[in-house]
Amino acid sequence: MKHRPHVTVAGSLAAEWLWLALVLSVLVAAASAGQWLQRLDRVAYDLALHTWRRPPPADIVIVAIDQESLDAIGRWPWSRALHAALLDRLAKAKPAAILLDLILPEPDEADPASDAALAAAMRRAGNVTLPVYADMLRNGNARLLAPHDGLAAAAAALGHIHLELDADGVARRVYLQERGDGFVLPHLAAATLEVARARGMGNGGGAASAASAASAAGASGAATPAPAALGAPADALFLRKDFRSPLQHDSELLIPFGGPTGHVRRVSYAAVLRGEVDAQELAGRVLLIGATAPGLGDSYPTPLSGGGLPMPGVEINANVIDALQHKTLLRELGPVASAFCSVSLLWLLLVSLAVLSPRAALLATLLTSAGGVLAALALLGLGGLWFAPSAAVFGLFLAYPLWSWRRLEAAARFLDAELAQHDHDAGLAQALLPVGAVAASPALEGRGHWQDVFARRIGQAHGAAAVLRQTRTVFAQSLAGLPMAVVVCDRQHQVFLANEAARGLLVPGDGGRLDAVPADRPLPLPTPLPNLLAELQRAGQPVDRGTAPSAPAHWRRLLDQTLDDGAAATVPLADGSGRAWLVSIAAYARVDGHAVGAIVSLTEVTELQRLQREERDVVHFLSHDLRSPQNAVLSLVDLARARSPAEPMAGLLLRIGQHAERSLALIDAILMQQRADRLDPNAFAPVDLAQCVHEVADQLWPVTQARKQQLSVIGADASAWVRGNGELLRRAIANLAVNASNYSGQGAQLELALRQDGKHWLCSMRDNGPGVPAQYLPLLFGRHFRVPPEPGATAAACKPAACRTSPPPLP
Amino acid sequence: MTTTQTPDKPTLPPTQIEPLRIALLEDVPEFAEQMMAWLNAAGHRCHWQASVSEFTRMLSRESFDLVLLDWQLPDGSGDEVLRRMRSSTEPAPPVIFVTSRGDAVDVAHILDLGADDYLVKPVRQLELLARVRAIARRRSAASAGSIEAGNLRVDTATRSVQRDGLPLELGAKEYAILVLMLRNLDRLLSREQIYEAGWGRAMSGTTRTVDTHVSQLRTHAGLTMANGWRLSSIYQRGYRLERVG
Repeated sequence: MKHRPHVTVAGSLAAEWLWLALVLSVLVAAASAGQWLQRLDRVAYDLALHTWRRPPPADIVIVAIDQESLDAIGRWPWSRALHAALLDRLAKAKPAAILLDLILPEPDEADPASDAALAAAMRRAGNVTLPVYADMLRNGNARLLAPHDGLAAAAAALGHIHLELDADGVARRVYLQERGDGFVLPHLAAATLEVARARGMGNGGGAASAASAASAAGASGAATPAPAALGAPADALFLRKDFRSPLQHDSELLIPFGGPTGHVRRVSYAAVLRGEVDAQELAGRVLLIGATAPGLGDSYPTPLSGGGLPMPGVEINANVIDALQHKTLLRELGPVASAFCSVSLLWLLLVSLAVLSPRAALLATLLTSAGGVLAALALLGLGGLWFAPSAAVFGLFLAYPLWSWRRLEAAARFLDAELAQHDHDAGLAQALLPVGAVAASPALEGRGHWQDVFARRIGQAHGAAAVLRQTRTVFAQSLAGLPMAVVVCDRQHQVFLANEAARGLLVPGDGGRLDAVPADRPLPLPTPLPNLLAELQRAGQPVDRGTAPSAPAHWRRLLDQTLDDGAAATVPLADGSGRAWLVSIAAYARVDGHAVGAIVSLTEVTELQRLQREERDVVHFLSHDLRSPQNAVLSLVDLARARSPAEPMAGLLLRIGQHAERSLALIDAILMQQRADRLDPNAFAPVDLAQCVHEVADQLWPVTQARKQQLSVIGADASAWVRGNGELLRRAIANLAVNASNYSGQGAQLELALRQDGKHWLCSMRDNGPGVPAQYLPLLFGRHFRVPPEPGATAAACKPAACRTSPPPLP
Repeated sequence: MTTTQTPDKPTLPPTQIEPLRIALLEDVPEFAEQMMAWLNAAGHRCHWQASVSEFTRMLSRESFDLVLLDWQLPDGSGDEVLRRMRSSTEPAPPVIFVTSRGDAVDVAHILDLGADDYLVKPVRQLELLARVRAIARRRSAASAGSIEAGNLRVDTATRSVQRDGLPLELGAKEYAILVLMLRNLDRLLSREQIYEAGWGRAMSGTTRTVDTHVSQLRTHAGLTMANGWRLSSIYQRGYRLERVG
């Protein structure tokens, strides 16, 4: 009968939780660090970028080789002289820098003059940068396609425009440095920004800002290329035509696209050439010349580019410049930091799961997941850091079902254990209770194997609960049906069960409320038991603070004593209305033996005590009245021995005989009294009172004759049938008549009368004796009563009591 | 007291009473000696045993006309003896119980066991001899002709009754009951016997009609102590008519 299952379920749940937490942590950490859910993360990232869109950059303009320009100028490629013309026109507007996003590795063999013109224009402008394209080869090496020598020498700076696409073909990241054998090549955007800043553009960051952005990107040990190196690119190793080198990408940053394709302001190449573009629009700005026409092929999907409109490379570069300039380039969290964040989120939820209800836990799961994603968004927008939340969210969503599953398993185990225990207990209960008192529930038996395991267990639990309820009802009804008053109280003496007898006794004014209470539900009483008992003791009596035993403290002490030592106690109680009670106090204990309350029963012993008192009276009577004749006989015997032989015996013998007769009469009287006391009304038989009266008259005849009294019988000619004990009735009437005769003098007129009074028969005796003095009348129906100043009357007048218990008449 | 003090003439001449052989079971020697003295003086032959075992042996050896049983004895009880006697196949002699326990339940018990009559201690000589006489009379043939007892005289030939020499009008049933009682003076008559005598058939249903007729007879025939009669009802069983001083 141990209650271990509860402990076990808590303990096993704690262990389950720990295991789950460890396994999930490892899983989430691995998924986060290993970017198992990269695809999901990319979706999230793209969404995040959507969230943090920015207005188009004000100081960047794309001079677009667009469809309009192609229409106006003709098919691509155009003469480099045309580019030279453009540059000249642009230079007049005094831009901060010009990025000529054209790959020009080969000299124009057909028109060398145009090459020269372009180089000259570049020199004149002085702030034109050119791209180096890294053509990645299959063996992992890269072949760098740099501008041919003439142009390279004319450029203000060179930079790589390598764009590493993600596995989904979307351009998201850029490397600020490409390292090769013996060289470090900055990104063209960074190089262009350097040039622009050297021309005084920017917001006070100076030349170092781009470099600092680069170094902030975490390219440790990678020296930022100095402007000096950029200024003398002609002798750079990678400019050789057959140069091959493995490339190492450095300083990876995520491009914070400000908007979809076309977000950066564009002016048409042709429009610039025609002079339609206001110089004001270009002055002091970074200009990027590049192809935007769809037919030219230099475009890539970006997170914000939307379905059918990939972003031209030149605009991507514009975005990078913008990001570098405003230091909004984004970094990705490293694997360790990412794993840490994910696991932290996971533990936040795991702790919640351990303490929350399943419903709240689901809410917590949703909240932590959403919170994780939102935090990632906020971190990206406000801190420039990207935390990939998918692994964490994955872990969070895994945690809930797993934990629910483990919980369910634990609950099932617990339920099984409890049900097994219950089956054992129910067996006991069925053995204890009468057959059929506890009906087997159909759910308890299970309806088939196909049923869901849990549904079956729940059914079993339901059945168990039903058995419990029925058991409870049986006990409650047993308690209610007890004839004695029974209450059950707790350690604080508060009554929580009281049967009807107890309520009627202890809470007399409770009648109205009692009606509303079902009979099988003994309800708690509002007042502590000691107070109720004390109240009962002084009920009907004036409240006297001085009566110590009736103080509640007395009962409190008794209850506590029983609760402490477990020994039952029985104490008498006399209530205010003179009834006597026996109060039995027994402790009741929990299954582990710890006493938790007391069962108190009150049994009325008034009648018992009365009988005891009467028995004492009888003993007293026997010891005195019965002994005295015998003592008298002994004295007479002594007298007889001492007499002289001549003295006659007759007088002594007569007196001895009288004493013996008196003893016999007394014994008969006692026996008759006893019979009258144990009178059983169920054994009553028809009795003819008229015959009784006649027989009494006959019985009295010798006595009345001796006293010369006239006894007349009146009204006994016809039968007078009643139901009763004939022997005792006759005895009662005889006693009445004998007393009348005894108390009446010689020659008295006695009248024994019987008459009908409605449903009753009245038997009366009239004499002309002195009568019973008024002060003794109330005592007349007590037993052994005798009017004191009448020394001659020796008969015990115990019959009136029998009269009182005489049977009801026949109908 | 001696037998010569018996005041009344018996209703039948004493010569008709044959002496009885009586077995007495009584453990108190004083009572036994007194009763034996009274019975022997009345002409009977009384044999006394003080223990149940001895008494039983005596009963099995010899035959008796009447058995007097005490209730409580050191080695058994009188009702045991009575039960054994009544359960044996050979016809047992009449039994009178002598007991100090006189309440209704006890009397009903011994009468149920088959006792013919009972006496409550202390036993009076007159009472004892009257009961024995009643038993003895039963053994002699019931006489026809007139019955004379006390102030009553019944002529069975003319079915007339005289009380103090004056004719008395009685109903047929009352007459039959009176004759039965006068022929069985001092004997306990059950209601069944009375009914059979008055109604001429076995009793069925309530006994109250017997009681009513006996009650009427008591009034009409003046069966009261004042007239020297005692008609007593015996604990829901029956009646006994006695002639008293």
